[in-house]
Amino acid sequence: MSIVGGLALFDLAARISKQPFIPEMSDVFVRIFELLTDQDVLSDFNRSLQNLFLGFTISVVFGILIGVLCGRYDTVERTLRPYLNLMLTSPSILFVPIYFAIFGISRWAIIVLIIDYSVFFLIVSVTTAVQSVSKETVEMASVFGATEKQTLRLIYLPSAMPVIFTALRVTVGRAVKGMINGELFIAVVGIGARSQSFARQLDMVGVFALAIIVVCIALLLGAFLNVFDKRVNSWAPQARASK
Amino acid sequence: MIKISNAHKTFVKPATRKTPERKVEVLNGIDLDIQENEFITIVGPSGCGKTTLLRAIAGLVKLDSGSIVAAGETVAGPSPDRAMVFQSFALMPWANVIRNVAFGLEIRGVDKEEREQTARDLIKTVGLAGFENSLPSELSGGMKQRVGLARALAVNPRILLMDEPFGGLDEQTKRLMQEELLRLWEAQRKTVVFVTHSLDEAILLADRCILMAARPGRITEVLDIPLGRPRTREAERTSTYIDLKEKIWDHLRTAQIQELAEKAN
Amino acid sequence: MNAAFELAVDPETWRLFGVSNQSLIIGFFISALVGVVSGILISRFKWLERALDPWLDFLLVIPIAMIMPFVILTMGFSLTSRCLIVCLFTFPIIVINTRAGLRQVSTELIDMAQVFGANERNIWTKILVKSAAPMIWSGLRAGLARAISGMVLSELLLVSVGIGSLFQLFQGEFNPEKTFGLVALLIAESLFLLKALALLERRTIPWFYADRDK
Repeated sequence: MSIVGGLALFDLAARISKQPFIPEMSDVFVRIFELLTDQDVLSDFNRSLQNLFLGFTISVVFGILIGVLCGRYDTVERTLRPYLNLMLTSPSILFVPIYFAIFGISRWAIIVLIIDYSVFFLIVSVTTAVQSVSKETVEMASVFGATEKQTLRLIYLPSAMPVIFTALRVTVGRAVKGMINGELFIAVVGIGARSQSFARQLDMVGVFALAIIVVCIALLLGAFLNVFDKRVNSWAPQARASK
Repeated sequence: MIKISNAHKTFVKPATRKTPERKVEVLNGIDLDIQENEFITIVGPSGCGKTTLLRAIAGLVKLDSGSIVAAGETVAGPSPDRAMVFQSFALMPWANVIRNVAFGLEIRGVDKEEREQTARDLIKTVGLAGFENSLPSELSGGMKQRVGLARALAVNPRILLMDEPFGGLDEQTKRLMQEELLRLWEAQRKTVVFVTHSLDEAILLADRCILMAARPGRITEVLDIPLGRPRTREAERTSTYIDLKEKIWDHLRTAQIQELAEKAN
Repeated sequence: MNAAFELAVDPETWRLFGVSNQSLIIGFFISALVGVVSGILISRFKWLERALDPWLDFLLVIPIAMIMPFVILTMGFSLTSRCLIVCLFTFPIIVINTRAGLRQVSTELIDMAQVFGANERNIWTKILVKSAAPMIWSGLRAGLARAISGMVLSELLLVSVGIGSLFQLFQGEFNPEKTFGLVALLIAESLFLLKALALLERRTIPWFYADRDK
């Protein structure tokens, strides 16, 4: 309800103020449709989403792997902790110039940035998830003669999955942020780049339209993860929506 | 001191995906008279309404119909005159023991020196001397509940309401706290309503014991506890005690079995 | 690393840092104040929460970086617009954390306060805000990180009055070493600021960390 109300208010403000740069919402929605049917724009999306997919997948693979190792083996965690802390506490955006300097204007700069935004958070989350697996359950497994590999596969992984999935949802958001921020600064093609070009042309309706599309993409990916989560982790008590 | 007349309270359990909306009659026409300086325990299975009844006396729960008159006034809301000791202690984690104990006095507007002095005295009384500046996170469960008790006594209430106060403690601490409570109560015989799951507590501490049953929540029996005062643990070895305990357990056992059967359906 | 030192001893660097950080500091303080107050108001007045909730989630998810040019274009290049950008980055997470902190206050504690005679004002000042403090601080820390991001983003993409101009300069000179040095300085600064905030937090809510130190 209030979204509609807010948008209507915004629209009104736009019409009244006649500021050249506050877009009218009706225009924005029209523009969204136009963009979604424009071949060039769609190839931009394609490009961006490819980068996103690559960066995200790499982050997930390494994130879960290293996270599990850190969670299970204290020495690993202690060795890596200072680096993880450093990368987590310093705002990832600061690394944009570095990646740009190393990789130049190429998709790898963006992919590495996406990984920067995603993997460290994921590692720490997975570590916590693994560390919070009930010690008793692990002991139970050893009493029944489980090997290390079996324990990891049959106890740790399933127990930690619900928390890991929650972390994955957040990671998706971070990855999208990384993709956009990277593209705004570095890229020539892609959603971010197109947004920049719109901005330079003072095409604010376009910028808004793209922003809304990006938000929708992030929400869709999150929802997709949700569905996947429910199927994989149907055993876990689902947290009630905290509204 | 406390007169409960025809108290009714129904909770509505909202519908979930698997079950329709349900009305739970938590209190169904409760009538009870509690005398001044009496120590009452209430025991019963989960869901029998004992905690709801206690909270209604406290004024934290509003009855659908019926009334509760405590110390001459109809209960309309919570008041420090009906102080409460909580099962999970309800201590403010950011405040030390003195500030926690003095909380009720602070709200009342008593000035700092006076309330801290009162707090210190009570801290000594409950056996926590030396821990005045400790934070709750530094205390054990039993110690935390002593703070809860001191806080309740600090406002000098006429009625003391205790909601399974020793439920979260281990057996040994529990027994110690029961003895402490008996000792404290002997010194200052307040009117106490004490809700518990424990059969031993129900008998050992009480002058009278109220048995409640669930669905609908009601009083099934009121037992006199003729075990003499001052009460000590010696009482546990009398045949009166053993008979009473068996009687209460009979009552609870039936209720437990019933509940399991209902859940299976 | 030499580059970092060279930059550090150059007074011009500090001047530019100062210019950039103005928007950071002012923006963060305003966001913190307004954010916490908003979080409290939202928790107190349900209608307000219902109205603002979708906008909050929206602001949190949307890459503010994309909308930044819009702010500059409507408000021009000024300290105000740069501060506003920082606020856009920082404000949502602080409000959300404040609200979450107030929400998770144990009802038992509130019951206790009512039993002992507290009125609504008492409950707010003596129980709710104090209980929510750890989460509020967590929001402030996250907010500071975002504020720094926002400041850096606006420097890199829009207004090159401060360190952004340095970046442009080094890019033009094709001098990656200097760029690295500058980034190193920035990282050092952000770590410093975050650490300072963490220390302040420790002093304000020592009770939250008391048992972890044992």
